[in-house]
Amino acid sequence: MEITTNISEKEVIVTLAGSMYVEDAAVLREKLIGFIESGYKQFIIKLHNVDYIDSSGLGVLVAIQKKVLPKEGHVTLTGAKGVVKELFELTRLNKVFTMQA
Amino acid sequence: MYSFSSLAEFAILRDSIKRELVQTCEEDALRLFIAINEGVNNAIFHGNKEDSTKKVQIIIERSPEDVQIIIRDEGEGFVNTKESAGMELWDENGRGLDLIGLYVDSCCWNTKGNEITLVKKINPAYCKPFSTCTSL
Repeated sequence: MEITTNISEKEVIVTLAGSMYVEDAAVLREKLIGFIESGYKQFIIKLHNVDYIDSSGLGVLVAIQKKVLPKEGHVTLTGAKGVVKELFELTRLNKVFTMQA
Repeated sequence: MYSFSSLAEFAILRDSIKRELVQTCEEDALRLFIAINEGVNNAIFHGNKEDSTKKVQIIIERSPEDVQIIIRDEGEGFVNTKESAGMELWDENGRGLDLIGLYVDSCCWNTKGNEITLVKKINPAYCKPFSTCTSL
């Protein structure tokens, strides 16, 4: 999986591409926690080019949301489609995140 | 049959497994792969506890009615204590078994608890006839 991060004002924009397996989830977790420790709390995660995300990837996104919400931060997911969108719906995690097209 | 000892070895096999599933039943291939991937993660991390001297095996079998997938590890065995498929929304872990349950028609463990059998009924309208299946 490709993980690209950019800072736009106070937001961290994370662009993901490919399939997110357990080994990718660990890398993503480390990167995003690094941003939180640096004071960032607003995350936009672009899923347009993600074709699969496993339960460990879903868990990392939940963990980040749990860390930033008490700081008045937020994780927004954009561009989920196909089976990725279906996974968020089936697990009801579409209720945990703001999901945008 | 696929046999491997680590996540790195499984990562190399993922594309082959996907291809076999597409050949076996294209319509359900991705969802079957999701179930297999979650089962294998459980086998490597919870079953074998990442012990690279222990193997995980995957067996994919096709019958006229269904696809049966066996995932076997060499761990101490798993006891499913979940009484329902209710996922805890804010939990960071523990969705793997729920995802398996969502994507197959049945899953059961052997007595020891180190082997899970997943069964997905197939829709003949979308799958190759049994006689031409190449996965057996």
